[in-house]
Amino acid sequence: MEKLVIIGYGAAGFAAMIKANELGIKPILIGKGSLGGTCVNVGCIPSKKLLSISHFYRELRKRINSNQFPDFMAAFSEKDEVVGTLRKKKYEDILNSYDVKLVQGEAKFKDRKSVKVGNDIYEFERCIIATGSRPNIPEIEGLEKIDFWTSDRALSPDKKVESLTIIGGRALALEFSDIYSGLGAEVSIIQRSPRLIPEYDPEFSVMARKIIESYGVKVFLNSKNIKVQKKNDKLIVSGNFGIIESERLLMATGRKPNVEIGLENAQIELNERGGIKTDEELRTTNPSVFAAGDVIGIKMLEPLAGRQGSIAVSNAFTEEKKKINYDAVPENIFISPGIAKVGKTSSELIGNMYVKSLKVPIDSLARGYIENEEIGLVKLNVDLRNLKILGIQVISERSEEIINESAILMNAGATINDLIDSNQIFPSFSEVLRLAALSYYGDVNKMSCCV
Amino acid sequence: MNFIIKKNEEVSNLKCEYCGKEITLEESYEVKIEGKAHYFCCDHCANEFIGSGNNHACSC
Repeated sequence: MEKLVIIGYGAAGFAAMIKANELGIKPILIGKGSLGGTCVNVGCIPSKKLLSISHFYRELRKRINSNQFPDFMAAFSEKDEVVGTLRKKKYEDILNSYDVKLVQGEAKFKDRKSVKVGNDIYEFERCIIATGSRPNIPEIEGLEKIDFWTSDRALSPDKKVESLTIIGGRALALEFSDIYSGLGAEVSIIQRSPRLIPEYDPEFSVMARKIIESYGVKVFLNSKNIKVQKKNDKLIVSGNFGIIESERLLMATGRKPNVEIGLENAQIELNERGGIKTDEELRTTNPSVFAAGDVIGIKMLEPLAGRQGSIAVSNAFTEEKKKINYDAVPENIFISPGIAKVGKTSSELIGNMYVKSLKVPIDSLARGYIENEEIGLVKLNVDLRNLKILGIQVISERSEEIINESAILMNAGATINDLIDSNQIFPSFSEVLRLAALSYYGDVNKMSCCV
Repeated sequence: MNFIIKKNEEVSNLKCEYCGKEITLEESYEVKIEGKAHYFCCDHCANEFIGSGNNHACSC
């Protein structure tokens, strides 16, 4: 019998393997496809490289008043190089540093205590499911008859794309609209909700729209009766917004957990989101099996997947009983300026009479002013009874760095006074958090640079 | 890319149900009370409307 079987070798699977070795356990690591899973192959790494190219040229065009766009296909080749290097460095090479048996193939649960890969059966003491996710495709009339893209294919086009229609209005849609408009394509976004990024507060949705419209992207909200068809080599998307004709259609409508691994044989149940149901310690309805990463379907974020992989192994073999503080899990949309959040939004806090929102625009900040940042905002939601920070949302350059600091504050249960009592670099973007905290006591427009 | 945009297909302008400020669906806070959706310009107005406000002025 194997001590530990890990199904999936993406971020969660690798973190589980590393933790297992720390505990003196040699796991069986089962996976299919490229090592590293979504993040390094078709997720964070390739998209951020393309965003970085898009942002560089957009800034260049602005600064020198030029009309220079990057070479379309060269940008994707550059991305491939980064993906290849990081996959080798962070996954293939490090595998040799660990005591693990790698099995490549499709795993299915045979029963409560074993999985089958081809003709081989692996009985286990404990198992971690880390099978990740794949693009979610909603039902849209005509979609089954056309060759549409998911995010995976949008990261590797076979030729230059002149026009792209994106269905969706959350992180994926925004980031791909940034990438393709930055590479010179005409881009439209069709969103079924009344606003973009509905998981943020409305003022952030309005700003998100302003940002991508500044790239030249057309945005259609509250879209209904969407139909798609192909006509003379063009894709036609129609609905209550009218008719849009483009070369390619990208379905950026979220991701869904990969759960087709014979869960019923192991008596593992699903949650309301179609992911694997777990308790707070990441244990499934089968006490010998734990789950980690996108396959849970709650928040699909690479760093969270890694933490869950590590915690799942810890909880499977020790008495530590670790839990994730989901209020301290940050999220970021890597457009420019970026959009990020951690903790509770005002929409989530409506009905709580002890909440005050502290809002400061980014141009109140010396650094924002220096960098000519016109669009930007930070919002701190604070519990008036103890001044504890309940949530932070931000639109700013370096939002990913600001939200990292915010996540530490959330994890520590910090108050706005903790922020005010801290010393920070001037001028910096992350200073905006302290400025928002100061706005509780006075008008920040009447404060000098460093107070 | 060709656009054929219909005009005034759906008017989404509405008023904050607490302070009366004109808003759009895009910028509104939506609160469902007994299954019916209510729209507000900010979280303070939403809180005041449902009776859990902390007496802050409308923030927008």
